[in-house]
Amino acid sequence: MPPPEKLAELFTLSGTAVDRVETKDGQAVLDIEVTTNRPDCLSVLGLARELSSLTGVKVRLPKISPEKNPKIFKKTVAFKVEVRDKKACPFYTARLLKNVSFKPAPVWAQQWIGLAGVRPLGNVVDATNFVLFEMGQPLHAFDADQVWGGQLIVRWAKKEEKFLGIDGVEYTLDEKTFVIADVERVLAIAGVLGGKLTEITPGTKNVLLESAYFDPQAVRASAKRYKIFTESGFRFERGVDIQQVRLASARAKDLILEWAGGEEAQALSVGSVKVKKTNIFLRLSRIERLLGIKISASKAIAILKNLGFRCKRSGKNKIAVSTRNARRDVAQEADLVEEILRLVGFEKIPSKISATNRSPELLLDSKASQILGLKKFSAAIGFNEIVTYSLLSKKSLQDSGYDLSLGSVHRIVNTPSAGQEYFRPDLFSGMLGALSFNLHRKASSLKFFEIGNCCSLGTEETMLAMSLCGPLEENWLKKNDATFYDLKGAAENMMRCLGVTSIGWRPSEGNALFQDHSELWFGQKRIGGLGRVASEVLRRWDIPKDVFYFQCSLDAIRRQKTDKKIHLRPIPKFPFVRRDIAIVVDEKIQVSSLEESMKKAASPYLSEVRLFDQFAGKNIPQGKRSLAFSLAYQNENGTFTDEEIRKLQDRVGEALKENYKAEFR
Amino acid sequence: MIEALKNLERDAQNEIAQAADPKLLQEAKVKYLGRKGLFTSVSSKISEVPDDQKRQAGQEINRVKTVLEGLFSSREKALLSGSGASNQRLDTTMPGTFGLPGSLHPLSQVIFDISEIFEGLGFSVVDGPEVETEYYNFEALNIPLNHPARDSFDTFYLDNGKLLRSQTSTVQIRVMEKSRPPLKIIAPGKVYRPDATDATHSFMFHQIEGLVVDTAVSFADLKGVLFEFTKKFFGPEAKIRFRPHFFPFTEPSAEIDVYSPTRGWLEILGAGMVHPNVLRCVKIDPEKYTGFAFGMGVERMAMIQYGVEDIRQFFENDIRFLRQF
Repeated sequence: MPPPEKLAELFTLSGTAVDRVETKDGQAVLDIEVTTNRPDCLSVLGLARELSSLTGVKVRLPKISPEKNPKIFKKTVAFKVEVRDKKACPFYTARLLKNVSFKPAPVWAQQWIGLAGVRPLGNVVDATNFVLFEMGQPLHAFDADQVWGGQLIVRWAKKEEKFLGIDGVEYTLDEKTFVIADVERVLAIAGVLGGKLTEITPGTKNVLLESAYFDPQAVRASAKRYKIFTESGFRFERGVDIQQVRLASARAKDLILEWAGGEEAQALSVGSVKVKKTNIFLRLSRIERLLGIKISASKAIAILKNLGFRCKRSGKNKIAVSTRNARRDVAQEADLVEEILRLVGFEKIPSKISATNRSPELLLDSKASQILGLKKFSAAIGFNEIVTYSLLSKKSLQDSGYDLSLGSVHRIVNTPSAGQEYFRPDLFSGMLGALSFNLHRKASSLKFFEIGNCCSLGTEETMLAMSLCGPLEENWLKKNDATFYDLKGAAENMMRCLGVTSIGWRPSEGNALFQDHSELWFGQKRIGGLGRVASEVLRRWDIPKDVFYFQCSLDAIRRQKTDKKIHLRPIPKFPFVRRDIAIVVDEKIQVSSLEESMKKAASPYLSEVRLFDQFAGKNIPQGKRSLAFSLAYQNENGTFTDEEIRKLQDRVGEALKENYKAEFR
Repeated sequence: MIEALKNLERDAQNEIAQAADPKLLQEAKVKYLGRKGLFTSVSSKISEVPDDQKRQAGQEINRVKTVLEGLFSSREKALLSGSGASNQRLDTTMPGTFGLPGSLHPLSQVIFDISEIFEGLGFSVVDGPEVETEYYNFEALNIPLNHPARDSFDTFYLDNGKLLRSQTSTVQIRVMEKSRPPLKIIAPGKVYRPDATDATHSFMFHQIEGLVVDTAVSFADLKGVLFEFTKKFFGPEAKIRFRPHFFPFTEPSAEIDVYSPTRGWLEILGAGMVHPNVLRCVKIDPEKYTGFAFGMGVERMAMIQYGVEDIRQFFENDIRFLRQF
């Protein structure tokens, strides 16, 4: 036998990962992670068989006394077993052991099961636990004198039937729970938990020893429903080896009689252990195709035989392999290839860089690269990317102003934690959380963005959020607080980065979450919005400064967008002429309407209108503001005369005067 | 004489420009335009000029005088007001004022680095939804209902009967349903598992899934691709080892460890040959096509890469953390 560390490595490299090697009471204990496909490794004997395949060391099996001829048992004491669902319990055995004496198990045995993690509970129970770890077959011992009517009935529970578990908990069962009962009462949840009523106690004289095969799904369903985790349930739900059921029972019987005295008075069984054996055909060509190496037939056969599979050549390039009940995970050709790979060793597989083909259709799916480009762009223009949790608490959503009674936000139905109650409908709460977190750590000048998936009303969308809070820049020259227009400009730049040019902003009223809110429109769709977060919301998040927030749906943009194609417009042959115009108008008149009006008045020559100043206060009447625009006139076909420019400028002035009562300064 | 005037003008211009303070400028002014200055001395030589050139010389004397007076006066103004002059001395040690760039989140950075490596190997980057169905998260991936294999994939369920994907392998199915082989993709994204949160566990984290399906793909190709990847990501010295493992959607399956001299073997990747049941499920003939798939945890890679000790730091968004990337 190799030393413990070497053993650990052997196991780990063959797929049964050893998490750690500990030394307890001078003995090495391996803590092993057994994958769900290898229930055969959930026992010492199973691991020994695995090790034997890896090293060639022979397995030494425990000596188990042969079964007695049933005729020697007196019929008068006969217990009866009735199994009402052969599918849920195809094979059930019970032995009656009489006149046992309750006392501690031998010290070495107590220590041994202690190392496996189980408390010693007296010789009888310790013997069942010993066999569970040794052979992987869970067993249960009933106090035979507490079983009413001399009968065990293996059946489905009745609705609301009560069961007092060995853990002292009273369970109310339902009809989907498979149980062991006597004529009146439930004594155990099959394969999961024994009951208080038939518990082995110091007064126990006669023991009924159960060893059975229960359907993994039935056991798993009970364990899940009542949230009971036991070593027994863990093994049954992964599947025990039905062919070992009787042998394990005999082993436990030997140990009980040895440690507790008494005699075997009856052995009975219901059902059969017949398992269907089939052949799997393993093609040598398939091995090569999946692994990239050639394995000869004789080598493959040697490996599989070593693992306990019966196999023979079938034709020139095929091997017929008989399935094994202990290795139900090996059910098709690919499973055999894995076994061969495990035993050959991964280091024998060559490392190949071949020119495998690209995915021709998928090269066009550009969402991921587009998002990456956008992230890099946001970072380049000064924003720090954040990643916030997609699951939110009820409180944080309410603090952000969401009405959860509308049902548009999806709730998590099985959340283990109050912080994870809802899936985010957008990125607002996460953003406010990140701002609040940082402001309370004395940060200022926060410029954040996040891109992530959100879901409301069953529709999942990738969204972009940006925010500004505090000074836009913090240096000795520039220290002004960020404004609505700073974020608006940033948002417009993001749209340019996406190749979206024809966007429009529409002022919106009545948004409770924002003051000064503007919707972002693209084509005929509203795709996002920008605003100053309402003071009420900020107060709830304990944010003492103005926050500007922009959010839009990147999927909505992708759906609308036709591929951006740049078609170069010729550079004008003739120079443009620039003129300024300064007006005083009612402060409610929107700049966008003034711009439109000017463009219309001097169409098609007014190529650019640029606001360059806004002023209100001194010398400007109350309720009005002064605005100054720089206008560029462009004629594609020639230069303007002074007279022509004067006429255009007059038309612009007239239009502003007529439509908006503009006064000129 | 005209020549002398021109020289004088040029010299004066230079000195005016170089005069760094009003005092130096005043000295220069005295030197050139003072009563006993150079200008007086040169212009007094007009008497020596032949008569037919006197008129031209006179004009030149006037021009140079006007020019220099103008230059002295504007330079004086500039120096006194301390602004607007391009020749003003700057304290060049003052900090720059152009807006600072922001940063990519370290998880994005790692996803980007990894994607770039795989794109170089011919992979396309695709994405898939986070809100998923039982079918994509379990059934199609050969994880039957009521099977203990599901225990490794504890899952959040939503009120509309859908769930939050517990692994990015869902994208395998979505891609194979939509497109026929050859396929060569990676799919980064968020996944969710109701785990207790601590320094190394999070209920939300990121994975990158990879899938290759073609007519002649074997474990050797899987090994080649992952070797190449780990060398590029962890450096040419990186050692990796494969251990057999179990995943319901691959057969054979393996876990891959990378060796770090300081931290020993680190488990970073799960991989395997696509299970024939999975291929059958998306109507790809497993006799005609084979494939491999792999998956890795982004947070784990980022923790190794940047020395982050606590996974929760990724989601706190402390600006002092973010600005380091």
